[in-house]
Amino acid sequence: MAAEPLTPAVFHILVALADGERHGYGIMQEVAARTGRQTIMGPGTLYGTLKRMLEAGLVEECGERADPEAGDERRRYYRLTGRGRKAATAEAERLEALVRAARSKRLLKTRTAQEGA
Amino acid sequence: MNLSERIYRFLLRAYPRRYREQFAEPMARCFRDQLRAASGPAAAAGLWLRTLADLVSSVPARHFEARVRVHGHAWGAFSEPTRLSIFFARQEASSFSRPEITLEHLLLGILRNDPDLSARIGSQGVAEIVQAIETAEGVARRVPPAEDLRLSFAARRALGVARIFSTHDGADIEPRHLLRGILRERKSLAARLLRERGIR
Repeated sequence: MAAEPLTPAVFHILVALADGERHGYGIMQEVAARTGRQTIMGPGTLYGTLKRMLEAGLVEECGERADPEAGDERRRYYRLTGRGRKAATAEAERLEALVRAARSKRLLKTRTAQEGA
Repeated sequence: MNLSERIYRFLLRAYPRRYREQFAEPMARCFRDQLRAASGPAAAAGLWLRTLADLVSSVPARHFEARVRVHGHAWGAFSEPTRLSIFFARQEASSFSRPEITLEHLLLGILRNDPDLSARIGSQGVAEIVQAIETAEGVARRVPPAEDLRLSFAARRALGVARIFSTHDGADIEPRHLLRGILRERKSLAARLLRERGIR
């Protein structure tokens, strides 16, 4: 069965964790930076979504430790599971196909190899 | 701890107790980090506005989820594949703009996540089920937003039956138990679609 869209909050968190473990605030910062501060998740949305993703086996906790950038404060870190990575890849491929369709209908400029580099 | 953080910690009491036990502390730390990053009164006021909106939308959602537990379906009783099926069912319901997760969404969630069932039904059969449910929904799919949905009464009843079967098997609630719960809702579209393809 073809994969259906993930919710934006779930996909943002999966992408934020794709390149390594992060704590909650780290995820929020990554999402805000990547979207040019267009998407700012509050703690309620972030942890509510993380809770469901933990239950679905898309992410897992990987212990508490101090964040060097936040002094001695200990943080709870999260990382992707294999299932989470697969879900993120499937969603990214779905979005890529949409962008290709938009480009073929001239809604987007076709990027040259030089621009893409 | 400054006044804003104290107020936020007080507001966190609005969440259900079990949720607070797991997430109140990291949420408070997150808020503290956001406060530190907010430079000036305007930024702090903006943060408070966003935070209040976040509380207003997320507190009721967490209470809905806690209510599901009260009906006897603690997440610990579900196997990992079943949890993922329910996760996908929530997205299916949301993609049809439905206010709750029905038996048909549960079936779609299981089909997305259970290769054994898909193999038994066959790819043509799966496509027919998806099409039948999409036709019955009567609306075009949309990209689902980040929203929380509760289970319909029939879906909760199916979960209850699934739990009885899983207890009988001495196992966690597996997708196969959930299917049996759906089949018990004999008049539902989901049960009929399964029966028509030999799943009983």
